[in-house]
Amino acid sequence: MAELVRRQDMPPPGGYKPVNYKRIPARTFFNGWTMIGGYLAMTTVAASLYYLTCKKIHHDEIENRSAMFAIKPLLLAERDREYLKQLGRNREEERTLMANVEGWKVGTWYGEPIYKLNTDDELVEPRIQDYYVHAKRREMARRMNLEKMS
Amino acid sequence: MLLNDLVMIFLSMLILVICVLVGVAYLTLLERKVLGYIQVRKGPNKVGFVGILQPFSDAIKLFTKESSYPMMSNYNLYYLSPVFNLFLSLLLWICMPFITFFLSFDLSVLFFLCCSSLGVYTVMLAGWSSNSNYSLLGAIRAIAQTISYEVSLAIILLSFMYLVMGLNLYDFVKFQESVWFLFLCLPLCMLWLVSSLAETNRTPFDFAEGESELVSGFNVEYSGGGFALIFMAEYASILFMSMFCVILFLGGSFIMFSFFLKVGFMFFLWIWIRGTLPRYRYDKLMSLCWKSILPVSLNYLMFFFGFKLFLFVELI
Repeated sequence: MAELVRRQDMPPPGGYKPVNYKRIPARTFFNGWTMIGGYLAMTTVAASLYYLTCKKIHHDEIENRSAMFAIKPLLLAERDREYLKQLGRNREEERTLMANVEGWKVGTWYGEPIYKLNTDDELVEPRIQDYYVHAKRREMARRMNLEKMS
Repeated sequence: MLLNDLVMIFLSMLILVICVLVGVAYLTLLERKVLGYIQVRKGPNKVGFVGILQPFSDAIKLFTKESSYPMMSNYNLYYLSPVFNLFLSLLLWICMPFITFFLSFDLSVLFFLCCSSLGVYTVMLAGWSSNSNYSLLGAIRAIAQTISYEVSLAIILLSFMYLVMGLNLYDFVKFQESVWFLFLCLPLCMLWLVSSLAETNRTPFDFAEGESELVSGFNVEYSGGGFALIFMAEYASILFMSMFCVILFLGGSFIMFSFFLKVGFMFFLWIWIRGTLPRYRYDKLMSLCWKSILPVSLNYLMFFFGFKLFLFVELI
């Protein structure tokens, strides 16, 4: 049996490494001034881009409005023309319908006008029920519903 | 025509509600998965294919359980407040202009503010009608927190409204065509993010459900279906908030696919924050609201007012 060699356990030559107790802060990429500078630069660039967008939207709005002004008279005229044509069609319908009634004058009640003081060529706008009197009831209901909803 | 319109609107709302609820279901799954990986574990991965059916299994479990109710509760209010809570969270969604613009209307920002403030009442009623100290305390905390943060939330929203000069959510898309508002007002967007975290009662501001001191907060007495409704309402509002954030300052062009990627990133951010940050302290939360966020957002309001005035003079 080999003789047991006892050895004192000693620190490594040169001593232990220093214990690492220092706080390790997170890596910082920017300092305060760079961040503020970056923020200001970003905001400035974005604000100028935003200004351009605003300008474009403003321009688009003006163009839209001008187009509307330009086309509105035309649309109104078309609508009025269609309305008058329909009134004419209604009158003709009434004429054919009441052809066999003795003493019936179209647009009046046996020759009695709607308003006494109206001149002959003055337009009396009919109520919606009169306007749709020759159409299907369903069409009138649809129109009236639309008016209630709008 | 009228009937046709009504049926179509009803159908589109139904589809919207279903999509939101499915979104909420998978949001919960995403949250559990992400939290799992943050905490170096797997999360649900057994039900169906890698856990894809987990939310449905949870929902079926919750809705088929017997719902017990406390004897001393104010039963009608107790029963109806989760219903009303979910209803409000789903109602919020109709102000969103989707690809089809479906019910996009002017004043939709006002509609958002109204609906999100009404949400406080359901929490209050749920907490009070349970007739339990814990739920009452939780409800009071939630109310105080939510209505405090709503002030700064509204003021931050006002600054954004100065920028777009309108109350329609579609205006935000128009004005962010060339630059996102994130770049124009970075600090304001961060404040918005913090306020909306507090508004939806999420970590780090989830004092409504302080487990260590209040068991579970205002919903402590709810089980089964009632609990599921509260939970779904909470997550629907989180989903809505992340969508709102994207529209407010991340471009928000909802006709593009990237919109939905951004929404996904936003609610990932919500979950990430939950997985990373510890709970704040209640008094600090309140002073953060009244002493930091409110003054800064008021300053920003004035700043944008001046900025817009300057631009207005330039444009005319």
